[in-house]
Parts: sequence; C-alpha cells; structure tokens
Amino acid sequence: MNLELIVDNLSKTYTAESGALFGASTKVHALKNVGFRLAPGQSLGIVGESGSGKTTLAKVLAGFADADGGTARLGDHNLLSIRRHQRARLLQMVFQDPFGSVNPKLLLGTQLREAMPDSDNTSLAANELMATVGLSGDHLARYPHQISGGQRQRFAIARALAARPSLLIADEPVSSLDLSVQAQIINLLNSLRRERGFSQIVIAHDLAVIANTCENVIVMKDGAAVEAGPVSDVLAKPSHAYTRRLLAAVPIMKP
Amino acid sequence: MTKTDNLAPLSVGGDLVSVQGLTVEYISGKSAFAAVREANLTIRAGETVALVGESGCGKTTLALSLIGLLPSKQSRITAGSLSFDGQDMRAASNDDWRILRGRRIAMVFQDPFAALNPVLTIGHQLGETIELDSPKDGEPPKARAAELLKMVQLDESERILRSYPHQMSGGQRQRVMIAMALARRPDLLIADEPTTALDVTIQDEIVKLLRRLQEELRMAMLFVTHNVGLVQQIAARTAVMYAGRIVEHGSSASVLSDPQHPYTQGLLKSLPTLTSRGTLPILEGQPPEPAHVPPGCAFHPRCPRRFEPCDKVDPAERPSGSSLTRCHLYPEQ
Repeated sequence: MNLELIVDNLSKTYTAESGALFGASTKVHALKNVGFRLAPGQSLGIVGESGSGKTTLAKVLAGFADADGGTARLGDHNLLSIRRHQRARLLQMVFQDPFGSVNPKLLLGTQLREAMPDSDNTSLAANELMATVGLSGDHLARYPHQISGGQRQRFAIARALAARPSLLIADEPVSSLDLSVQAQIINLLNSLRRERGFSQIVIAHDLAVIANTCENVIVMKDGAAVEAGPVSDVLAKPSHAYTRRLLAAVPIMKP
Repeated sequence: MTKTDNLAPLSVGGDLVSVQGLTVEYISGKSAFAAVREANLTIRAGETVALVGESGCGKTTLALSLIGLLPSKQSRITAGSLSFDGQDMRAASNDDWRILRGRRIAMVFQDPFAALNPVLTIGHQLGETIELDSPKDGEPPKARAAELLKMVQLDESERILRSYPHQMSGGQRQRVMIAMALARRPDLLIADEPTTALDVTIQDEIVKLLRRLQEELRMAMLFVTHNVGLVQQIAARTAVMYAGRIVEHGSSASVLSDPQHPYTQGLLKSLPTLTSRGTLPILEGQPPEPAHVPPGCAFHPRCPRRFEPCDKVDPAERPSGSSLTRCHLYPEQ
C-alpha cells in the first residue's frame, strides 16, 4: 500500500507577460529537470524562496498543473496522467491556510465522511480519525469557523488521511499558525507518519520546519534543484552557495 | 550573528516614550474587550525595543496607540498614561498627533504594497513626503530623494523614482517604505512586522538595514514581530506579550537565555530549530481569542506550572531575575 515515488526530469514552463501593453511575453522555467526518489515512509523537504518552483512542483504532482516534460510515478501509477478519483486515494495535500481548504458551509463531520472510503465509513471510524489528530468527536458537529486555526489544520490533516493516501504533500503546513501551536502540528505529522507509514513531501521556506519533519531535503532556486541530500548533511555542510546564503539568513536565537 | 552586547548604548538618552498601565479596549456593538491591558513600556531616545507576541496578543494595538492611529470609533484608551517626549498624549487630539506623526514618529508596516499608492510613481510619493517640510530654497526634492534611496541601499535611483510599486520586488518596496518613513528624520520608528511578508534572505537584509539606520540616525525604534529569532539581532530590550498583557520584559539577552514567565519558557523551548529533530516540547492549547480571555492569569489554562491563585488573580508586574514579569511564581517584593 505504501509506494515509492520516482520523479524524473520534471519540467514546467509558464508564459509571463512583460506587463507593458503589446510587450513581448517571456517564458519562465518554473521547473527545470527536477528529479528525486522518495522511499515509502520517508519524508522529503523542499525548501526555497518565493519563485523557486517549490509550490509548482507540488501542484504538478497533485494534478493542479500539467508538466511540460518528465515523469512522476507512485508505485505503478503514472501521477501525470492518472484520473482524479484514483489520485485522491494515492495522494493528499495539506495547505498553508486550513481555512482556505475547508468548506465553510459544511459541518466538519460531513466533510470528513465525504473523504472517507466507503469500506470503512462509520461514525466510529470518523471519531477515531479525529482522535488521532488530537480532536474530539464533538468537533464533528461544528463548522470550520467554530474551531481555532491550529484545530483547523489538525482537521485538514485528518481529512487528508481519511483516504489512507500513500503520499501526503504538506505545503507550508505551519507557517500560518500561531507560533506556540507550530510545534504541536510538527509533532503530529511526525507521529502520524510513524504510525501509518505514508511518505511525505514538506514544502517550506523555513529550514527549521524541514529539519524537524524530514530525513532528506532538496534546495530549489529558479526552478532547479541546486542541492539535495540528508537534512543533517545539507545543514552541516551545505555545498551550494545559495544553501549557505539561506542558512546564514536563518535567525539564530541562542548566543 | 550579531550579539546584543554590541548594540551601542552610547546614544541612548532619556525616556522618549512612556506608557504606564495602558489599557486599550475595542468596542463592537454593546460589548467591549481589552486588547491591551495595563501595559508598562518605556523607550529611551536612541534605543531599540522589540515587542514580541503571537497574532491577537495586542502588539499591533499597543504600537498603533504610540502613533495615535487607533481607530477612533472602535477603540478607546480606558486607563493608564501615554506620553511622548514628556508630552501627555493620552487625551491628544488628532491635530496634536498630526504634528508628531511623520515628523517625530514614523511607522513601517508589514505589507509595503498595501501602504504604497499603486497608481503613483515612487518619485511622486517620496517627493510628497520630502516637500512637507523642506524649505523652497533648500535642497531640491529630487536630490534629497536620491539621497534617501541611497541610504536604504537602493541603487539606480533614477529608475526607481520613475517606477510604480508593482514594478519592484517586495524587498525593494519595503526599502522605499523605510526611506519614506525616515525622510523627515523621526525620533521614533515603529516597525510593525516589517519583514514578515519577505523571503528569509531579504528579511535578513532588511533587519540589518534597519539596525544600521537606527544606529546612524540615533533614532529609537519599536520593532514589532512574532519572530522571536529576530529580536536578538536588532533590539537591546524585549517585551513579550500574551493575551493583551506584557508578561515579560527585560534585556533581549536575559529574556531569551533566562526566560522567567512560563509562556516565554514554553514558547522558546517549542520552537523548531536547525539543530532540533522531530519531537519538540510543546505548549498545550492555543492562545485565547482577544474577546474571550480567561480570568486570572490569561495563560493559566496552558501553564504547566499553574497553582492555586492563577485562575483567580491576574498577577501584577514584578521583578524576577533581571526582568519584569507577570507571574504568581515570583513573590511580590
């Protein structure tokens, strides 16, 4: 059930208008020949600044954008041509803003049950799923605005895991949360991955978030992977100048 | 990384801002709640103070009260005093504030795109600020504009002055905002999350720029941020806010290395770092909504060290270690 992800030579080009009327349009390479392997149960961090292509990579894998070239396979499945309902069972996403990704007009219970597979769609299973993310069954009778931001992100994780996906893509999963709540979500993602064995891609601009959720990391700049390797190695001995610059910019707290 | 010890205390003078027991309420319909409660804060001339807290803790409300920008119909100061350079500003009129604003107190906001006019060139907007108090026979505004852009390390001033906000990067826009804020050489700069919308490498550049300008121009600065990691680089003193109260206040070095309040302690321990891996010590629960702050110490439902008085009595500010803190763990003296 848990599958290896193999991404090879993935490319994506956007056409950008120059801004001026009748101005020439230019091609922007959002992804340039990106490739990596992600073993079952492992977590891979994608770090980079705005415009680095990290979110485009997630969009292509999740089917929100089409690639121009390259392949992405999850086990035997071709992620770039798979049907939507099949993809949903293989791959789920958690977004930065949990409020933007839940339906404000539906009860949490309704939204969770919709995402659960028919084979195990019982209220007992729904309650159990809520408990695994630290929420109670009572929350199922609430609307998204009736819970806090941290609780909404917990719910978004529960809903993503309802389909028992093989791969979870978390795009900036803590950056919109209160500072004192971020560690709760980081710990939750880690313990769920240990228990359930899904593999994970964490997209973040904050290297500290990657360091605490991933075994491996890819550093992206201008659409290309400029450095890749185990998190501890890349942080201790960054080989690319851009990685060194990113690391130097991270504020260090203790003297 | 720069250490706090290096922050020059040379130019630090008398109290520029003095806030004592300040309580600010927001009014919605018939109900009101205190967004800032009994805050004490002083900023001396030429020093930088960091105000740290999570969203909804009241840090922006406190900052806005120091520049007279609280929304007049939806908010009111219900207790305490507020003075700027010896002048009582609690009951100040709009005209009183207008004299200070821009000329003596300036502000930089989180989103420079929202603070700039999208249909006017940078030259136009910067020029308006400069002309406010430059004598007709003085330095030509254009030369002064170029000088200001150079001060914030924006090269190609000719091109920048002709540009519209959307033609610049976020970092460039924030540099322009800083140039506009400093155009009239204020004594106090309030920077409210000035780097939050920026990439980390740009954030690093802007923080260094603000620190250098603060020293060169010998102005005071209130640096408002949720990013605890930044305060040590920029501020000699740090005040930590939680649920409308300043719960801890001391030198940045002591607040970060020897935190006294259980909130500061728990928050600092929970933050993911480059050297931590995986299981982080967490603070349970979440910050209360401003309108529903628990009785007693507002932090008590989340506090691992709470005891008998905590859910009943809101602790007063007391010295502890080398800081001031609001916590029952430390006896009144």
